[in-house]
Amino acid sequence: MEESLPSRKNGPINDENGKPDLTTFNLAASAVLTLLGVFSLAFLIPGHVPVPTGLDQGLSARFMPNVAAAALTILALVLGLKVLVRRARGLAPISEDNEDNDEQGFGAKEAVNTVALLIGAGVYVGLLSTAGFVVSSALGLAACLWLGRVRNWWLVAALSIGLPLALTQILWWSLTIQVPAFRLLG
Amino acid sequence: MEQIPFQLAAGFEAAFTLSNLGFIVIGVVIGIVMGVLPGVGSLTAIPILIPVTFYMEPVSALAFLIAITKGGTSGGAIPAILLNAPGSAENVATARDGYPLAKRGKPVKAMRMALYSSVFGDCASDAVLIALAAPFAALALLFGPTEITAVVILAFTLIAGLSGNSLTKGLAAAALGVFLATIGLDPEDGTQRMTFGVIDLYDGISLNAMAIGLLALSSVLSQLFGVWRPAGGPPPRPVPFDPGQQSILWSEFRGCIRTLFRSAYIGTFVGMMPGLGVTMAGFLGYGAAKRASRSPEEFGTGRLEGIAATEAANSAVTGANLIPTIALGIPGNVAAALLIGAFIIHGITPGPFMMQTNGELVYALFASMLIANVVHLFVGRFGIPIWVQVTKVPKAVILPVVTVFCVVGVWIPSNSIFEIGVMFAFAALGYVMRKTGFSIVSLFIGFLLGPMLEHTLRQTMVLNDNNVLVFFTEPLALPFTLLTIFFVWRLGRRNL
Repeated sequence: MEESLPSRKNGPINDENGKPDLTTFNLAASAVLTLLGVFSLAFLIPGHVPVPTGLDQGLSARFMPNVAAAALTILALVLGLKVLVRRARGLAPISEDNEDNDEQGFGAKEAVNTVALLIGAGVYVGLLSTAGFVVSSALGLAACLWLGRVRNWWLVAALSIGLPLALTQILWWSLTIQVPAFRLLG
Repeated sequence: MEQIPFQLAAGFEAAFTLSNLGFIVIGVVIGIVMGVLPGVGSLTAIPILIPVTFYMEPVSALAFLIAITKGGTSGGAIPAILLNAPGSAENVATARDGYPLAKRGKPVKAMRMALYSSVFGDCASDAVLIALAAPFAALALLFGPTEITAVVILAFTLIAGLSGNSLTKGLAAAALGVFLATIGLDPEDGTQRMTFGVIDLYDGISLNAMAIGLLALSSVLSQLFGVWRPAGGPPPRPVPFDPGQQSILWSEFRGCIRTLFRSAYIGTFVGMMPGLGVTMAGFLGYGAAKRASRSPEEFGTGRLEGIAATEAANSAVTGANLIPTIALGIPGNVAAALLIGAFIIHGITPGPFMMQTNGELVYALFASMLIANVVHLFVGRFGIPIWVQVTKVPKAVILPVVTVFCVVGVWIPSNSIFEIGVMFAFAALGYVMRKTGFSIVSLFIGFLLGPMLEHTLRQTMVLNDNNVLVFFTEPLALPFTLLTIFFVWRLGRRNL
């Protein structure tokens, strides 16, 4: 039988059982979460959670943020140490799984997807506040359908224009809610 | 206990209104359609539709949401049977026997069995809920802040350890959720915490925006990225259809009764335990039926028992999940966590006092759940030809449409573009977490239970002069503390 090597078929490296090896990501996540925890404990909480004077009853407002940030820091350090110990001993990486059975693994493709999502969301929210719900949603829908290789232009037009317009009318007539309006022309 | 039939009768009187019935029917239909639609599922539908319920009576709103959950579970079985593409993870085991049965020309028979089993599991679980909710709530009334803190920490440990494979990552996600829950005004003295002067953050991060972004939109976007990849492999071939072989004979159903009871029992038990989840119930039910069968080798070849075992078990989780929700205010899984959000939005605080302060509403809700089961049976049974057509809608069309619904779902209660931005931020975080084994459920439940944990932990510390050892000295808190230590040791040994 041919010995299978770790593959990059789906972007991230998979181990010999086909499970994703997220060692590098786990180390990065551990570092980021540790930094976040330390930053919160050292700067964010002291700087942005004032302690009211004259209150001698109970614990201050900083209590729970401090507990949560400390727990986060400790757990992030444990994760990092665990990954390093396993790597040093040559053990198999932490077995990964999640509740939705999503395909696991974080490589270049996933990183690009995340950045694209954030840029797309930024553009959409920007358009929403200036060009309104109908225009931004129509453009967003059309782009998503086109990327999904839907080439029935009648369907693309009907959905991307019809759905935002229909929702605008439904929200107004049933719940008297106005969606963001077109503001570019003042 | 002897009061339950009378209270339930009063609940039926309150619940049996035309509008409530209408919302239950709509809820079941939406649940099934969302379950059938590729890549959507009832867990996507609930957070999007919670804002719509603001305009309903509390009973109708909650009955509507529970009806969606009930419909969604059986709806997910339909693509599993017809296309070998389960609507959600909980229906994966259904495909093992459902799809082979469909390939043998009996798709409607498989769908009917899935529906009947689902309704059976729902009914059994609801009966246990009705019988146990009041005694559990009475027991929970003995709990003070120390005990509730111990229970919340135990729930975090179970959910973190069982929803993914790494306990550390699950607990880190829960800690992050609790940390995020502290943003906003301090509930005790009104101090601004990490609001940076942003008025939209004074009330904290919006639960609605977070739920839709983290649970619904991240799932939709994760699949959209998959849809945008070049298609691999041929499309599934349509299954054959033999009109004469679609009925379930009484002898066939009778042969599944033992399996149905076993699976309903398993699903109910799983539902009562925080963190175990619907998917695990489905697999446990299927596995138990296979082990108990005289011909286990036939499982996976199209046995009705296989479908019955999975569907009865995963549907039985829904009702039982509400036992810890109502008794303690602690959700068993995401669906129950979303329902807690809906309870709070409608001015009802889940927990031991709920039965005292909102007893009529709770029993009206129980009655609505039983009504929803009957509606589910009829709507599911007569709608089969429609559901079959819905499976043909391609993901590439559905998912962008759902994205727009997510935006509308955040806009309805908030009228805030800031919250839409928050939703997208959580969608990005959810996408990364989905790909990297960090539990979204733990983060969400940490965020949801964070305020409760803060309130009870602060009370505990004040009442006991900051003595942490109180968790070991209070007799009612001690078992939960020991269980937490046991599970940390047990789950940590499996995979820290």
